[in-house]
Amino acid sequence: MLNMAVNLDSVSKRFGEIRAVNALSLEIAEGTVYGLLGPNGSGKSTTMKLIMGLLKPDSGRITVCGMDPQKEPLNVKRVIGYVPETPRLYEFLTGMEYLDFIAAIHGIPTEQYMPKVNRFLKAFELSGHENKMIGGYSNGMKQKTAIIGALLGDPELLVLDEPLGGLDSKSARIMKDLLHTIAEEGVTTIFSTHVLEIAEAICDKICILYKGNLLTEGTAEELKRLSDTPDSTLEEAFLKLTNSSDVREIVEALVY
Amino acid sequence: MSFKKALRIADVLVLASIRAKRGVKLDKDGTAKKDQRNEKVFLLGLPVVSAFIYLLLWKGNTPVEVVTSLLSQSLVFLPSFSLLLMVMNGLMFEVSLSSFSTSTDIINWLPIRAKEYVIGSTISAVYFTLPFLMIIYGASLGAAIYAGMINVWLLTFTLSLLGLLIGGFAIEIVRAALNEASSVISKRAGKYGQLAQLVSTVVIIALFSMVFNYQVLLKVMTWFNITVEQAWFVPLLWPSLAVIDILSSEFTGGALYFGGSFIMMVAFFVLGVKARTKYWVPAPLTVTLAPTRQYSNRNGVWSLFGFSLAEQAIISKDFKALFRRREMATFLAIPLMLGAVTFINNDVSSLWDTSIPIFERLGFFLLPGMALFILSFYLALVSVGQEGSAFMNLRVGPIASSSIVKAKAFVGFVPSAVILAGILSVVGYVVKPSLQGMMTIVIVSFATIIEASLLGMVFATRYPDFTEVPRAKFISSEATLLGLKCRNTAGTSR
Ligand SMILES: Nc1ncnc2c1ncn2[C@@H]1O[C@H](COP(=O)(O)OP(=O)(O)O)[C@@H](O)[C@H]1O
Ligand SMILES: [Mg+2]
Repeated sequence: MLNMAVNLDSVSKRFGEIRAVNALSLEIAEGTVYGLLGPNGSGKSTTMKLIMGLLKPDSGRITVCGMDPQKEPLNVKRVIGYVPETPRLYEFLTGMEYLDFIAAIHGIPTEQYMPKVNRFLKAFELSGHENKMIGGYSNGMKQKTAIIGALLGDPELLVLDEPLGGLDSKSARIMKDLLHTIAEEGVTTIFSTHVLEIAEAICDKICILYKGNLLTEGTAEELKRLSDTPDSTLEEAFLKLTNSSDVREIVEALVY
Repeated sequence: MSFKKALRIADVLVLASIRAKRGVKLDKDGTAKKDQRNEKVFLLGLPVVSAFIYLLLWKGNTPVEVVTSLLSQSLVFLPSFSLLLMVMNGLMFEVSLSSFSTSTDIINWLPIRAKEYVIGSTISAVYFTLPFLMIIYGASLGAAIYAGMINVWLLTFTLSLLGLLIGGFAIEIVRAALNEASSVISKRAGKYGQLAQLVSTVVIIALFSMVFNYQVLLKVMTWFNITVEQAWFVPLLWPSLAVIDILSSEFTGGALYFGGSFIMMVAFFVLGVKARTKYWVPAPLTVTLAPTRQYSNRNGVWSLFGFSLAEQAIISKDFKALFRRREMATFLAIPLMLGAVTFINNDVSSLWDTSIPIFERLGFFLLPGMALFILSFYLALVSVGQEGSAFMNLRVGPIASSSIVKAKAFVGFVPSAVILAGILSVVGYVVKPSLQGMMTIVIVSFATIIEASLLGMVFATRYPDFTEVPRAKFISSEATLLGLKCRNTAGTSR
């Protein structure tokens, strides 16, 4: 039996009238790249914030690496690297100063993280920009810097909220390779996106969220097979799986 | 050139500026409310204040000669004061711009002529300066009616408006040049350019707040009246010189200075348009800093105080914010301003005068001491809110809130402590209190600024305001009021 990195047991969260997450149960095994797929407002960010312990669930249980994020917030944060949907960095710091700051918050001494930082800067083509003020960065550069920051603390779990939004295609490709490389070392990634192709290309396992509800879950292959036309696209698979026009709408939204 | 377009630009600039300062209030249906405080003061300032002053003088049966003498001085000063206030306001606007891009950037990509922009920008600056001046004009009008000098007042009023426009156009030149200069400086000089910018910003803000200190203003006015006639060759002073000549019935000279002022106004307008055409409105810059040291987050200075690695990181980040973010310059200007006021209003040599009781000589340091209290209080007060949405970086990190509070309270304490150490050594060497007295002073003063930063932290953690659109606010306005109240109580009970 696989070890579970994240476990959600019938977790609900509402904001006033809105049920952002509705009795959601997930099991995410160690070393998986797990995709939360859903249109805007389906509860992906909220789910991630619940996992981070930034939001308190109204009901249900959350376990992250064997811990309850509400009971052991610091220990949970210690093992998670998180990149929010729109990363906000300190604009008055340089990229390097920011990474230095994040490393210090995680208690990592300089010698330990410096080689890693230089490697990532190079991979993301940020070398030469690290001593510039973040205020002058493009959104993509900010996103990359935030991602590097999330990787510094050797996280066991990476929580990336729509991380490819600001990335160019080359960096997106690097991201994908990177996630699979660290997955082999046992790092789990939870990854949200509203674009079907991205989920299909990057994730080992995908769950589809809609209005806070889990519609279906499985590998891209499994989801395709379920629709008994093996070489159909994922999009067609969904359309076959459910005849409801509601879902048709969702899927259409997912492919832009 | 379309005057209508210029008015629209003024509208946008005014709105952007008001919302930046006061935030946006929404009506019930969600539309943004129009804030019309300035319009009210503008319309009511003149009649209400002049009637009030007139009644005051009349009720007190004040001798006309007394009124005439002070009024003449004020009238001479008014045109130059209007000009000065306009320039100050313009500079303040420039330095208080947030480091985040402001909504006025749109000027760069809309089809707007430099002329239209200069007029629009000046109108918006007048909009912010004139209401305050209306109160002052009102006071002088009341006195002028009482002293029967209404004609001179009318001329002065006209000249003041001329001065206002000269100041407004002058500031357009200065701003265009400043932007160019600062972008050149920041590109070439990196860190030193930033330091230069910080220092000038702090000085400008300190000067600006001194304008509103009436003791200082009175001194400046007296000095101005004595010296202004020797400076006839400075065109910026011509409106005031016109008033002098009119007061002494030298109408030829008065007319000449009047005409000269008008020509000046036109000339400054033309130059302002030229400067804007040349440099336009600045685009935000990218600043590169040379890494002066090897990055090493361990064993910094702050570890001496027993702070953990993470706490040290917050401390040094917040110090960087203090010196790099333009919004923070306001706080650094507080001790500078009150220090300068102390030197202007007091006789420094009395510090050495042993015939004066020690306790009175120590009074010299009361205002600077208060400044440090305020500085610590405010630095702590804004410490949480200034994180803005970047606070997320701390929330997702494995760091306890108590560590954050500890680090931030320390940042509030240190700048005041450094200045206090300087002041205390001056007290020790110059005033020479007894050893016991000195000990008491040291303990009480340090305890006071520690108390100030802790008090600030209480409000900072209770009522942080992370809004930063369009400008970072740091703390909710209710809390600022509450905080002021506490500060005053604490300040007086000291
Ligand atoms: N802080 C909040 N307050 C109120 N409603 C919220 C808040 N955060 C999210 N929501 C609502 O919850 C729903 C799910 O939001 P979110 O998790 O951000 O979706 P997604 O990330 O999938 O786009 C949306 O309807 C959103 O409006
Ligand atoms: Mg989202």
